[in-house]
Amino acid sequence: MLVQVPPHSAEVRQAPQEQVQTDSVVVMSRRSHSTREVFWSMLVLALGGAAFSLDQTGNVGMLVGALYAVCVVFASRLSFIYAVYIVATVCSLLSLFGLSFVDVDLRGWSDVTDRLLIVLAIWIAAFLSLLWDVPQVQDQSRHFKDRLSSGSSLRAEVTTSEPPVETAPVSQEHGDDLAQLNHALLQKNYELETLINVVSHDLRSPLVTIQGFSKELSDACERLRGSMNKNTDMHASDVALLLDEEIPEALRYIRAGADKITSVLSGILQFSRLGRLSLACEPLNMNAIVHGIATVMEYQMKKKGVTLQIDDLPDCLGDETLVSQVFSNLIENAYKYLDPARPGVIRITGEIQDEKSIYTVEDNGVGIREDHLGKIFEMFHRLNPKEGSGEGLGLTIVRRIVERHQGDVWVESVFGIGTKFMVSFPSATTVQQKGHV
Amino acid sequence: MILIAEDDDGHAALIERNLKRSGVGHTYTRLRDGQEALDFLFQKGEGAVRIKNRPYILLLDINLPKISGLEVLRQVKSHAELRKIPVTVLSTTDDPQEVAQCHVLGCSYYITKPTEPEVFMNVITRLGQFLTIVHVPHIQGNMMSPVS
Repeated sequence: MLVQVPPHSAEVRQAPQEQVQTDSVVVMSRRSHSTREVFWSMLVLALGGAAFSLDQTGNVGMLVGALYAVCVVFASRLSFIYAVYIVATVCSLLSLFGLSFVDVDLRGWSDVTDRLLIVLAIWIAAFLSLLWDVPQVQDQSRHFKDRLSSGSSLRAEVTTSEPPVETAPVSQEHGDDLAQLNHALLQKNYELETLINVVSHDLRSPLVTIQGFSKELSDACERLRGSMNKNTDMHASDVALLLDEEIPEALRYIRAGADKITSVLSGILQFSRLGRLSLACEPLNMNAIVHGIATVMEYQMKKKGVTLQIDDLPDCLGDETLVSQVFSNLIENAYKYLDPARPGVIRITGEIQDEKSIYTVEDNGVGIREDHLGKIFEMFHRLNPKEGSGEGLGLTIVRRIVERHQGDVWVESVFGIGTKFMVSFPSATTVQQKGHV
Repeated sequence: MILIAEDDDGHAALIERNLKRSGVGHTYTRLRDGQEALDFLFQKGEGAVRIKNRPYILLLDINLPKISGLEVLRQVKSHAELRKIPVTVLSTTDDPQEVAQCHVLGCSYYITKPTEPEVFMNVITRLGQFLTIVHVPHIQGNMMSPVS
């Protein structure tokens, strides 16, 4: 967001824009304003140039003075008026000190008074132009003073120059907003990168399979055709092998590859939908929500003899649909990875800590090895791809939802003993400030 | 014996078919993830394990479930006996850093799996032709202490 500005030139160019924004009467777009600025600059330059060259070629006294004066009056339309006054003054005095390009003779007193009169004319014109456009010049002078007093304020002004209202130096509040936006942007970027990674790997590998076995299929067709046409060295047993084994196998792999692509694509869609939904946050009765999920899963739990214990849970602030999804994903996960060797126990507890409601979903399942812990939230990462169903998205979705609520999710696990998932959401007692995150 | 450590069934089948076609008529063992690969090589676990005094060639995918191919490579190459096994890394990425890391760890070759099926087949066929002329050491005995 920071626009790096070279210290001199850009400062001056930036000025007219600020002028428009501070002067509430004059409102015009940046483009039209800069065109105007260019026009006046050209005019002043032309007039100044004419005055200076006339001044150099002959002694035309009053005419030169008048030209400089007009030049200065026009210059009052510009943001860098003071520069014009000074340049005009210096130019008119130059020839006094024998720096003239044409006439290098030392001048008499009449010339000196002539010059001084010109300078006087310039500053009278400057004074007149001040009267002509008082508010504008005052604004400018204030800006110049501001800029002189603090170099840093300019940078702040430049950085926020996009929306006109925010041109004032950045306040603390704005800084916080910027930091927050920046954080959100970084997060979005990270997600996009993950998506690109997923697309490049998880879609590419089934594609290779599909294409590879398509080629196998077409080779098999060629061989079959050859055996039919020329009755070559191909035996009936070879044909049978092709028809009974190789071709069905190729078809099976192609179908599996297509299924994989479909599941990756639906996962990506599901994930991106999560990012776009706006949250409808409200205080949630977590006891009701978790018991609701438990009722839905009661049948399969009972069938496997799993005990589901739900303690009294504190309320929290969140989007009901999404928070329910977090808990159903976590409970399903706990259920899926129970150890068949012992009766499963899943326990859900909750407490309030530092304005956060922290919930724990604990199981006595197979556990997660320590070196796998870091990977479990990764998109499409599955520890046991051969066991059970799933796209490897459940925990990724949990993390995504929790992050959107500005909460947190973390895990503790002992391999062979069990796993504890902790999620935190804003507690229901915190002020409802994040209605839309 | 050719070990194919590859999680994708389709890829593994394609690799095996094309290697066979190119004349590598050895026995093939498919290892589905990093854990299975290590268990096989270090003669652990319940599944099939490495047999003493046989030559092995390991074709290793980097993106393996459970234990990554890099870790498998690291463990194999830090073992006094197993480090003799020629390891050819087959990966979908061509990230130079990863290529370099695999070589530092001691892989023999690094091959990027091409996305074009024709090229993929071609690469595997050429790898097969190459493997037929490679001299592979026999991997001896039982477990020895790993090289520190």
